[in-house]
Amino acid sequence: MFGGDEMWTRLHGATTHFPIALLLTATALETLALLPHRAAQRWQREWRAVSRWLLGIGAVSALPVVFSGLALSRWNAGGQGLLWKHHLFVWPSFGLLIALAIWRIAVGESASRRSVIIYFLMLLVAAGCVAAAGFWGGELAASHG
Amino acid sequence: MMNFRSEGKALALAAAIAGGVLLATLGAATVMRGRVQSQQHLAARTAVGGGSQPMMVAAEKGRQLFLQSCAHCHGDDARGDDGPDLHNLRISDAHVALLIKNGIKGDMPSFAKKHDDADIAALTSYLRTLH
Repeated sequence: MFGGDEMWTRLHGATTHFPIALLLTATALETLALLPHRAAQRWQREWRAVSRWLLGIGAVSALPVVFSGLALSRWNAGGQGLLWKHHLFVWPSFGLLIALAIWRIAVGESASRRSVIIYFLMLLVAAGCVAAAGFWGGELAASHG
Repeated sequence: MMNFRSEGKALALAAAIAGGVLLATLGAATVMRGRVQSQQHLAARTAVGGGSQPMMVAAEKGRQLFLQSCAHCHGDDARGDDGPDLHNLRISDAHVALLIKNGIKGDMPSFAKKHDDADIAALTSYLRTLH
């Protein structure tokens, strides 16, 4: 892919699944914490704490992914065709992931319910973006062999 | 753990850091992209410069044709996009010309009507400069 830059291809492939999995799991746990069911409510604090740290680790793990991806595409942050579609979702998800992780860790458990709802909605947007970025990244990898 | 009393301050911090990281990343990518492109351009000129003046003219014409007809699939730098990377092609000039003329069923259109033999020769000359 992209001229046979084996190292960047391998590094991007090896690291790319961490932020995707961590963000999606954090979103799933945050969803659990919002469920009205009593069993879900009992573990609400724990769901949120785990979700918060998964998001933080996800944000850190996104850095090598972005670096290796840029090196792989010869520092092309835009591109055309599948690469453009991939980047269209990569940049919003990267920005949102970092912003949401910092905000969540900074406010800790002192966030108001209204803020948590807005945070959750933004988390869903980030999860959607990262899923789309992953999909187009997969298509890109498949098309280049 | 940090514990901001004001959610607004935390939001400002998060937005500033995320925006900064994003801008720094895209800025660095733009700078690096410029360097890579100038290196590629220099390498192409050096490769062509090793040949005759007609070869240099043909490769330059080929580059223009490439940007018009091929770049939207193979990328501006021919490193591949929807179409494959065209650097270090290991097929003969005749095979390159055949592929451009006939295309590849389901993958690449035919350019026989759009480009004559001289154009295809120029395109081939340009592709040979890509290492």
